[in-house]
Amino acid sequence: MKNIEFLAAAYMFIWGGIFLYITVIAGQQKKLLQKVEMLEELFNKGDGE
Amino acid sequence: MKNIITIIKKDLKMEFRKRESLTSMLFFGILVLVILNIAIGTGQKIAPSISGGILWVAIIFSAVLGLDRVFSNEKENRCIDGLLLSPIEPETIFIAKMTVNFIFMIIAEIILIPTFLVLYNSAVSFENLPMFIAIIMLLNLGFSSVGTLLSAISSGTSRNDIMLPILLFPILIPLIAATVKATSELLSGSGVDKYLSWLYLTMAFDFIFFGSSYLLFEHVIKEG
Amino acid sequence: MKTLVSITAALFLAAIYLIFFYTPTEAVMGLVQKIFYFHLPLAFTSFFSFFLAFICGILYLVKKDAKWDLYSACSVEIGVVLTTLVLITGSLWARPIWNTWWTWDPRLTTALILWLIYVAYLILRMSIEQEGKRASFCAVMAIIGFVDVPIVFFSARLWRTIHPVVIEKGKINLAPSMKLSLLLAMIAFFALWAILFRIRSQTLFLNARIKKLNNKLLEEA
Repeated sequence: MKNIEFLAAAYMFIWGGIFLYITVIAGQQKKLLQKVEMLEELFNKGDGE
Repeated sequence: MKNIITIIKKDLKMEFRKRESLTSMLFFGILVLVILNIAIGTGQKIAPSISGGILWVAIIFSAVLGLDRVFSNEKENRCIDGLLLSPIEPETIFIAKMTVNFIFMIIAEIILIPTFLVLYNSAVSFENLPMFIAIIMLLNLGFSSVGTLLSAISSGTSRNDIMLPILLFPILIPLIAATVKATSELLSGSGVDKYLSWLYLTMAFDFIFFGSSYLLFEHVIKEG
Repeated sequence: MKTLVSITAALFLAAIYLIFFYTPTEAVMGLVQKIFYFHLPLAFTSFFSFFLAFICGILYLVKKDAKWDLYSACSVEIGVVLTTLVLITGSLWARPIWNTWWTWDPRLTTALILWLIYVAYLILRMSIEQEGKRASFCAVMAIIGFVDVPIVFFSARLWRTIHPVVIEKGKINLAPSMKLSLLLAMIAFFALWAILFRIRSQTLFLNARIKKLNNKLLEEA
């Protein structure tokens, strides 16, 4: 079990890094999706009038 | 060919009239040499393996200052638009600007290298001189070709003076490493066979980056 | 997308199972060697990202289609994230085995310089507003960044042959069971890469769309 702390740290960095990245980009995407919906609604309203 | 010479002449004339970039290049280069000498400790004998690196750090930092001016001068008065409207091809502009950068570097080196030799107590023996000049020219060629391409890019961004070193230095790392190694070997008095492989590496760098910068320049200058 | 995510999760679980329960622990390096099964796929996928960015950069300059620029940008961004992890895991591996956090091993050096080049790419991308200009500049940077890779690698190798380092990397003879684990981890990471690429490219496309809609709105108003 020698050096297990290095292995644990490596796994933490890998998964921490990947999940952090996924959360950030997924969060951005969610925001943008809302924005697009909003804009499209605005457009539809504008066309209707 | 005639167009190339016209642009080069114009740039050199402009520079020698105002002398702003060359003065700052030289002053900054000397400053780096002095500061690093003090940082290492005055009165100490500095090994050639270290001083070779210091010389190129000083030259490259000062050369970046000169590189920056060549395109921002054109940008300031929107001269670049005129240049692009004229029937001169982008490739011609590239060769001309690259030559100007090359000349600036040589002028800076003519002052900086003797200053370095004095400050760092180094000497280049007479029979080593041709090889030393070859090393310098190979670096100048690689530096000015990538430098011209990337300074055209950086002058098109909003933060042009900080962008240039950020983009340029990572790309240049292998060229600088090879040149530093070759210079250190030369300064410590080794024969050519000791650093020939480094010279081949700089040649490969020059060849690849001159080619790619020449081909890509058109795409950059049209957008700038 | 949902199937892709579940396949990736399954692949990772299988890979982790193989790494820890099927593959024997390496005799000399011990447990730390297990970093290797994730380190190498990370390096592979990051290199693949930069290669893709290079190809997309060329395609953009030839076709001038904004889609290639966005693909190139996603690849570089994912590549930078993965290279960061490569550097961290490499360092964590080097410490117990070679007793140093960092060695100028050719592969590590190449990874570090690649990281620097592509972080510069991302900084360049942030500092330009106009789309056409940004796309062309970034394409050029992606191309010359990748062109630099072989030179970086050879110079790092030359550095080492002239100044021999005691440490020898890459001399790990892989047992068949290790190869199997590595292969599975590799496939799992490529699946993960595909997920990241999908999310990221969709985001960038959405961004472009929003800009277009915004401009239209401004024109009408």
